[in-house]
Amino acid sequence: MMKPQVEAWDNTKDDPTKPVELILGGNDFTSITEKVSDIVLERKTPRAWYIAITATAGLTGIMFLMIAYLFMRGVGVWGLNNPVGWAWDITNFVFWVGIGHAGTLISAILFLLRQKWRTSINRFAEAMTIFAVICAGIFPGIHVGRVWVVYWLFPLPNNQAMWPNFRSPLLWDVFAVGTYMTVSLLFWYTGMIPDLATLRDRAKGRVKQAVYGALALGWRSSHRHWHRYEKAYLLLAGLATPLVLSVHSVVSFDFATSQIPGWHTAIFPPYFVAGAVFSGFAMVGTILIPARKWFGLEAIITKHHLENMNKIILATGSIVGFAYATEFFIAWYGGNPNESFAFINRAFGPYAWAYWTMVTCNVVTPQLFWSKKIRTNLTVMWIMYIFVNIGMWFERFVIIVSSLSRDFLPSSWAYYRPTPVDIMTFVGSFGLFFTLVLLFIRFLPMIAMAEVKTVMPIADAHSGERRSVGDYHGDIPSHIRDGGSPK
Amino acid sequence: MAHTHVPTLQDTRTTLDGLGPRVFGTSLAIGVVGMLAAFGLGSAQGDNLKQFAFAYVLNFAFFLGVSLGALIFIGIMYVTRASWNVVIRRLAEVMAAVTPLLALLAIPVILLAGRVYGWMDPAIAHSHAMAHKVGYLNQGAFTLRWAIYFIVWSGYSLFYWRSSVAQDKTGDLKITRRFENLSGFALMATAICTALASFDLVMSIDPLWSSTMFGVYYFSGSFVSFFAVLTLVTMGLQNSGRLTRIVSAEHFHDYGKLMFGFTFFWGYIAYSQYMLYWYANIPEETAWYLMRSTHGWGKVGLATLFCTFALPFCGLVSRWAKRNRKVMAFWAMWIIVAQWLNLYWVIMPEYSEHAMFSPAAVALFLGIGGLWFAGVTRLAMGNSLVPTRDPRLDESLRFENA
Amino acid sequence: MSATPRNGALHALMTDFESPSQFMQACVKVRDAGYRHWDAHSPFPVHGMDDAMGIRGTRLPWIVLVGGITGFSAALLMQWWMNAVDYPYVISGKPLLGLPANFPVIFELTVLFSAFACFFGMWGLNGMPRWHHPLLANDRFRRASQDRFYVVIEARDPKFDSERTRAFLASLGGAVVEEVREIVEA
Repeated sequence: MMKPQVEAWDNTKDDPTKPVELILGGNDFTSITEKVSDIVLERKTPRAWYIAITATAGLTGIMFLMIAYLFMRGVGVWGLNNPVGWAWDITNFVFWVGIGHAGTLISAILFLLRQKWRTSINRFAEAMTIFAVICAGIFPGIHVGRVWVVYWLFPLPNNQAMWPNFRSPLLWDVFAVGTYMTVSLLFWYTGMIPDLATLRDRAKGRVKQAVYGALALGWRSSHRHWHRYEKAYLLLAGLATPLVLSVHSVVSFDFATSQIPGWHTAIFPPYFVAGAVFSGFAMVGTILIPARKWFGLEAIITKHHLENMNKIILATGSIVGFAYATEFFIAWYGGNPNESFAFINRAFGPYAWAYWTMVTCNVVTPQLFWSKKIRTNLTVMWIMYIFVNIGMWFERFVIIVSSLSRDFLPSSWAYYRPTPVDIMTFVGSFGLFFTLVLLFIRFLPMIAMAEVKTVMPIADAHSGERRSVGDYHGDIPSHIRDGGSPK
Repeated sequence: MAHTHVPTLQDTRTTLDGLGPRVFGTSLAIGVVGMLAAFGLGSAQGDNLKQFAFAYVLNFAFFLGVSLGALIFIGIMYVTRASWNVVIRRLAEVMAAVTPLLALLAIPVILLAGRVYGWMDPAIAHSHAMAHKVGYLNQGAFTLRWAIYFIVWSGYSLFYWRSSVAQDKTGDLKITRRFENLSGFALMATAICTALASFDLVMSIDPLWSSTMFGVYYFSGSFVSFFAVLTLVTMGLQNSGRLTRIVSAEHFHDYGKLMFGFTFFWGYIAYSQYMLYWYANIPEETAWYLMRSTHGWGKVGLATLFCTFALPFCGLVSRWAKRNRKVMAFWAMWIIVAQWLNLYWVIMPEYSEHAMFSPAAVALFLGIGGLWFAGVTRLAMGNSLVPTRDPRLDESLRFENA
Repeated sequence: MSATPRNGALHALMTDFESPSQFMQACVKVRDAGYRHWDAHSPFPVHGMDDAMGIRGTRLPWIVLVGGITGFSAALLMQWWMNAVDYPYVISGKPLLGLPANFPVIFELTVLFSAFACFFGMWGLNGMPRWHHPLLANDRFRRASQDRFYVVIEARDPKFDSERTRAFLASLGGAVVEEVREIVEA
């Protein structure tokens, strides 16, 4: 790859007098199309890709072996004990669901907020959302103990005339995660239709033409279609926005509706959502930084994009820190001895090491992003992303395990230790995640070409022409509308 | 297509001029009369001004919320480098910069604390449940905290307003850059103070009840009220021939989206807090909601649910509604009343176990509201109503919703 | 190009442009010329084209509203039937139909049904999927999804006249005017 002046590209300078250039390197519609679709259609698959997917598929295999072993022997193969009935299984579930929040935040919320920079990274983040939710879905499925009746989670008519309990937050989870998965998939696919058509029109082999052609649903780039398509996209964004709030809120309800000290607190829903966005952006960044380099996409995913992501990480990290502090303050203020003990126990009890790992990675290090130097340095930011990933896993571990291991009755306290099966299942889930990511970057357009084209200055069809004056205020008294000043 | 020209500031009037003193005088008069009437009504109750004190806290919390909403709005606009808002940002600046006046209006809250706050009641203050926090909840610490809150809020809001006005003359880009660099810290400090202030001002009326969500609950409601007030102020100015043309349907559409979005957010927060306490059913937590769902207060709460959430949600969901001036004006007024009613439902049950109507609260809405608005008008006089030399003004004038 | 079928009846005439602004000006002219069965194709939605083409608002929001109402009612009825009527049991002291606890599922299904209505509603209104279309068989048209902008006037338009329409299209300043033929099954 030729990329002579990549290092010189810097669009992170703040200049309030003019809009930021989002696409660099003198690209036009043709070059954007070529750069993105050639990765899928033209370029020879690099050997590194084969090596990587072998490794990740191997890890995935380990996970499935562990799950098979779990099915044969039961949940006793994990380190669970009494009172710690939930540990790595649910920690991993919440961790992965959380990561799955960045995609919809970028594609839906940033869309509604007119953040044009999202177009370079939304496809990638949405794909990651779906893969993360797939990883997440595995854990509650396998943790139920009697996996052969896992269909009881769904309201299916059965010969025992039983229905699930809709007043249980665990069932809300089934609906929330199921809806989220489905809607994210619809949203991802909707966004991809025009790009699949591009691939169809550029593909040379018959198989590729047929497959991308089938997936593109006969999209003809018609403006009569674009009109409804854009409306559908807007409506899906409007639906996905409250949905993304609801999913991690419902996950937080799993804990917050209980009476367990450290779990039952009203701020959990928004605090979980902020944490989810925080961890999701970190994971997007973790993959994006190497991907843009390997595939030479520095002109499309610019430093400005990464800096914006870092700002969101700083903001959500600060919200998470604020929530930690509020919890601590109210645990003291509220005066419930169990509640205040739960928090002191987190910070100074047997899981203090996990707690301080969490605080360091989630609250302390992200604050370095206040410095512009740090938030525009690729190496440093990548290390920070790793920290956030670690910190957010520990957050869920701390919440779940520290509260359960020391609840109301000191005689039943117990310390939880993971078994190798716990560890290998979790590590294996990364294998699944990265396998899916690798397949995605090999076979699907990883940048939303059509959307990127809309934010390029050359896409503006009427530069110079503007909206008509006062087009809305037909109901302002006419002497004011036309004359400008009264009397 | 009639897309021909970008509106400029020359197309309209951007100063209050003669209108300023008239509005200032009228609001001041309403404020003073409202205050005196409320005081009279309160004294007539013969309850040692107890109802007056509760009503005062209620209305103080409402208008403080509007100003804090404005301050947080400005901060968010700078950190996100937003441009659409520039043409109306001066209005938010003066609404925020009135915080020193609110500091004066906070003095009665401190003086009347004994009639409102449970922790001033010796029987509660010496109880076992309060033992660990008497050092935090007492009149001295309460006063000190309010002093700190107001130093932070006034510091930031005056800084925004003064520098922005200065930029009108100099057009100095450094000012915009400084705003952008400092707004992150300003937001953090404002958010922390707002959360703690909501604990002090409203939550600690019942010192034995607490919720980690309360700060977010108060903020989300206040933010909706702020957008409603901003909408009505902008419309009022346009009806007087000011800011016409330059503030267009596009800007109102955004007001509508923000009102709609934060109405939904408020509903989400209110539901989460309520549902979690209802579900876990822990006595010391549900007591607070029990008090607000019995003896007639339940009906007020239900009305709150519909008026504050369900109806404006349905009313503002469509694009048509957000771009229709009359519909927007209706919902803005509705939301102000509904959010006020919600605060009434949160605060007044502590005064009276049975649902009641407090004329003093209405009089104080006019009293504090009148003084607040007089302060806002006074700040808006003499300067442009638009940050004339903001580097993003042109973008704001050209702004179009996609 | 050789792959373009030449043997079918005339489907449409098309011309293409390089820049969005030429494209939009051309669309305004086609609109003002009174054609009805015509379309504009571009690799991304060009801002302002709805006006330029005279496209009116879509019914999609109403379809989504119907989907949402269906989801809302279905969720409420389902929970009421399953937990309060067909298989009632008290658990953790909650009422059989306790709205605070039933709300999350109501919300999720409202969103789910709305999203399906939106997704498939868009398919339906756009006549998707339609894999077989004369334009898709035209090689020149392939760049509509990449980097060129096309105006297409269909032969079934009442104002269509192969000579005059061809001249009209040529006057718009596009690259070339090309015939699009119907696909003839072998």
